[in-house]
Amino acid sequence: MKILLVSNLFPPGFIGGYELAASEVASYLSEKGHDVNVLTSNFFKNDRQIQQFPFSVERNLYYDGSGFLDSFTPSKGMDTNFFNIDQLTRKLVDFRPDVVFAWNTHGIGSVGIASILGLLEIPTLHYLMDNVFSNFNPTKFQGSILENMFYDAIRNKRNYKLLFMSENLKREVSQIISLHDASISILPGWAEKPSAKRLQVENGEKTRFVYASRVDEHKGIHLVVDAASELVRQNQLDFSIDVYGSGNVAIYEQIVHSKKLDTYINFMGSVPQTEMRKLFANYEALLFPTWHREPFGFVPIEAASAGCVPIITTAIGAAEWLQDGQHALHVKRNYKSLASRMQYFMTLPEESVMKLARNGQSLVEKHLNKEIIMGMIESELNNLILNKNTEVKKNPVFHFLAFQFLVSRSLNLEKKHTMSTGVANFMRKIWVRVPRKMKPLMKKAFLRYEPVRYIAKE
Amino acid sequence: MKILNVTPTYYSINSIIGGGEKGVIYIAESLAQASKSQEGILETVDILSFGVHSEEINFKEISLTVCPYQINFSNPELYNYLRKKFKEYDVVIVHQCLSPAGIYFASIASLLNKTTVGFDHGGEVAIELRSRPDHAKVYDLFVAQSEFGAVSFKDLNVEFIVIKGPIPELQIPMNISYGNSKKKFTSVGRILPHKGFEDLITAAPKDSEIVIIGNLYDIDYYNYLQEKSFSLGKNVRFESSLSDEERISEVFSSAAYVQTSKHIDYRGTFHAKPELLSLATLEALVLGKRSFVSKAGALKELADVHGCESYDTLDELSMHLEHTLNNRSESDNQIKIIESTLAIYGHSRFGAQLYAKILNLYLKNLFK
Repeated sequence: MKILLVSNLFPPGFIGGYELAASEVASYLSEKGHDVNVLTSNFFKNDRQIQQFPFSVERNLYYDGSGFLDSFTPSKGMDTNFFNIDQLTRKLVDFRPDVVFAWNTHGIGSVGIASILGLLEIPTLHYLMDNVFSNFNPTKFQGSILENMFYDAIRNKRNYKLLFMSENLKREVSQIISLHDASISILPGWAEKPSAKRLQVENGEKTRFVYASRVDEHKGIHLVVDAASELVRQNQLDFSIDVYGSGNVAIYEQIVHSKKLDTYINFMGSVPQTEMRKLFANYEALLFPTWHREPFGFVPIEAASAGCVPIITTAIGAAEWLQDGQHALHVKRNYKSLASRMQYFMTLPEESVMKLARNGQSLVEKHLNKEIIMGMIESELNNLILNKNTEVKKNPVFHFLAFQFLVSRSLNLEKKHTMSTGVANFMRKIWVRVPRKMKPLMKKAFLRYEPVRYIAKE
Repeated sequence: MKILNVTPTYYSINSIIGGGEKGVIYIAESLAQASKSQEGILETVDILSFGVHSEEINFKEISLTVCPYQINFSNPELYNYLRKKFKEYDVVIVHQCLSPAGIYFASIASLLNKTTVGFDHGGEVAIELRSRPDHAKVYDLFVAQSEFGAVSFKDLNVEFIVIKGPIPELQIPMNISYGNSKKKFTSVGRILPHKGFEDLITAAPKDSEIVIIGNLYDIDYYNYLQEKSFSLGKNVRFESSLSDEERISEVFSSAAYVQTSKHIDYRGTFHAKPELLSLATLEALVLGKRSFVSKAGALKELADVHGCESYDTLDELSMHLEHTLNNRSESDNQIKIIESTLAIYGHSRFGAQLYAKILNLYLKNLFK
């Protein structure tokens, strides 16, 4: 089957697990013999030169990285980017995919992309590993033509399916868009099948904790540092924490140094995902006190797969699978709770730690291993094609033009590019009196306005 | 094949009484007539327009639905209504097709994968087409009513054809006496400066009767025409509330029809598109009337039609009109024979059958 994968980012450059997962799935589908094409942004400029995939990756979309929208956006809060929709429709003409596989569309115009795919009636599977609709304002959106188009798209069960990574994420998204009548499934994250069962934990002097995520506040590095400080204050000194990942490393190194925690917390730098999966086996527990809205979190699953017990924030996506006291330990998102759970873990007998580790490994093996989830993704794509509604008769590019006209007119956007008649007439009058030398400067300043273009031509 | 004609304005006192609006009715009627007589794939032909109140207007062959929506691009109710309506048809014919409203209708039809055809580019061209002419590609085909009208379509990279007309079968009134009307000249059009009626008043011979048929849209211009006729001592009659039958009777009973539209009106204002076709002239020709037209807009294209002559100057028009009066010594029978011949020729050029045949052919191809 011909699959067009759309994502705001695609490796080698990446920010988080979403785009890494996208590349993993794309590679899997390509290996299975499907014709995969990727349409992504050129956010990481050097990525254009690197061709590491056996399938085509086009980096033509515009993504500003912050999630805020660019000048092509009709109006902030409507989350539609005409430039990207134009690129998408052109790609649809060139590639003619059987199915579109949308991934992280945050910052490239999620609503617009969903709407145009709906209008084109192209089977679309949208895998949500984060709230890609957080960019738009429901109040502004309500009652607009775009709202009609968008809900028509996502409620067309035969052509549009939303895959959520967790109930937690679904809850968050449903506070912004109505998921009533939409076709929805929950499909969690995955990890490699455990290569070997963990036989024993290192019975050394210290409990070895690991932190493997972005070194940033939202992932909870500050809580890890404060919890370590709390343990030291309580004279619980038999532990070490290795920190892997990039981000605000320098700042946290200074904080650790200032708190005299250098002997307990070590910054190990950033390592590739594949290597990190192996490294988890060297640790007894993972510290993952991430924010509550974590849609899932691949890291705890990968750690569990290697027999490293995850200590995670309660109610995050992964916590729906990794049960407290059975596969993992749950913490409230504050340093005291984290410190007390770390202390609890340090005092657990070896059998209990082994039980947690093995339970985690068997959970991944039975339910969350890569082969199973990838197979489910493939069958979801197949189902959409089988249910395919209608053939697209017209050129998608023309559909884009129609869409652009309807949306921009409904928002009165054409007025933004034109001057009022009074100003235009004034410009016409003064143009003849402008000294010749000044004209290029005037043109540069005002050429974006239609009437001036015409004056300039005259 | 089910066809829906969509037009922002319709031929009614509640909307606009103009050639563009009348043309929509004529096109729909011609297609409806053809669906009965020609072997084709036409099934239904309807017209949809917009107004303040919901209304159903019945014409001879077709009906016009006025839906109670103002054309407001931000109104999702209108958008939903149009989507629902368009879904019932195979072909959507959009009138005033390059206007913002026209592009709006076409965009919706195009998104529903309907065959979308644009007729009559309309007065105001959507600003989007200036910066991005590709927007016109929401249409599958443009149909221009004249070579002059087709100019607007030439840069849009969409196939276009020119078909002049159509004029469906007109009900010619019985018992019209030729004797009283041998000195009468008629002209039809809204009372607007670009129609140039003052030229007819100036050029018509003093002993002739001038009948100007059209709704009053510009009171200053009307006053100007009144003053002109008084000062020149011409016998001018304004008819602003005639029914279609009465209008046809007036034209049919006249000695000749005159269309004096101009690019520069009596105030010196320039009009880029004074006439895109002049349906009224075509009506006169189909009725067998000799016609005199200026060379403004598409009018000069009518000069090659048998029975129609164009003029450059007022003197030339004056000469034509005097010549017409002087030659009206024929008997009623002779006039009948001459006018019947002209009418047959007019029908063959602009009649419903030919029009529908050509259009049907193109639609069939698009529909495939």
